Amino acid sequence: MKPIVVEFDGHTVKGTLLDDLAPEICDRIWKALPLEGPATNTTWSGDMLRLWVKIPEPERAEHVEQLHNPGDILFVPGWNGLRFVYGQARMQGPSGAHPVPVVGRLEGDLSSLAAFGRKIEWEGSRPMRVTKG
Amino acid sequence: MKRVEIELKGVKVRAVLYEDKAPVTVAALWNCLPYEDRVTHAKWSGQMFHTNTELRMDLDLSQWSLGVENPVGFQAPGDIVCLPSAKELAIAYGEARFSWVVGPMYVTAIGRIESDLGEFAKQADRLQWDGAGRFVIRQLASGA
Repeated sequence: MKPIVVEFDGHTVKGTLLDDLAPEICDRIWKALPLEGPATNTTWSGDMLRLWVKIPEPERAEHVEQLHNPGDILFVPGWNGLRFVYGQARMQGPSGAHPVPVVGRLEGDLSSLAAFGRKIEWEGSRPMRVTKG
Repeated sequence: MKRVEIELKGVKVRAVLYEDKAPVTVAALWNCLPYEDRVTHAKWSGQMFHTNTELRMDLDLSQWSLGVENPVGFQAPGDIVCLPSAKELAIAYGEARFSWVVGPMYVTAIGRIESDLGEFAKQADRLQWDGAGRFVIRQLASGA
């Protein structure tokens, strides 16, 4: 598995890309690193951050899951960018729930990420950066 | 007919309240006005924003079979809804369905924005990028 580091607001969280389960998508993300862009909360999916970056679209979806856990990193084909789950969340849109590829996991204490999610809800978008670990 | 002026980040629109369909909730809201708060964008409900400071409403929710008066499960752009258990207002500015961690919820359809939504919707959409914004709802004269 490929190690990554996620940086936001002076905090650092380590994680891994699940290239054993989603090899093509993870390869495209890995080659695109470092990625930096604005982060917002999603509007339908609960405690989930959206990092607005561009990743080359994969040929097919891999490791598609319906339910998500805190720490999951998601890639949504077509919508692009990365999503980071920091609490109760489910990838959804106007037409309901969307099973999406789980492409990575964050490790350890996620309280700083959850605080970041709550902060930008009130204070607005902030930059977020993903690098190779 | 009761009407209100709603202001979001300086953009004002006019709305009608559904006195006929939700008389108890509308009367309770009317008595809270003017009401000012900082609203935030929805995280579960789509193109919708909501208040964060409890309205001074004290409704007996047991009088309604679903716990809300004039219950609705879907919203259209411009719909104003109230979740009386949380003493919260929410306004849809696009595709939206009032939801929380438990999923979609019944809310009271309390009114509808009559003005053009264009600039109001742009400001509402910016909430997810800019953070909380100033929101005011004021009485306009009954029958206005």
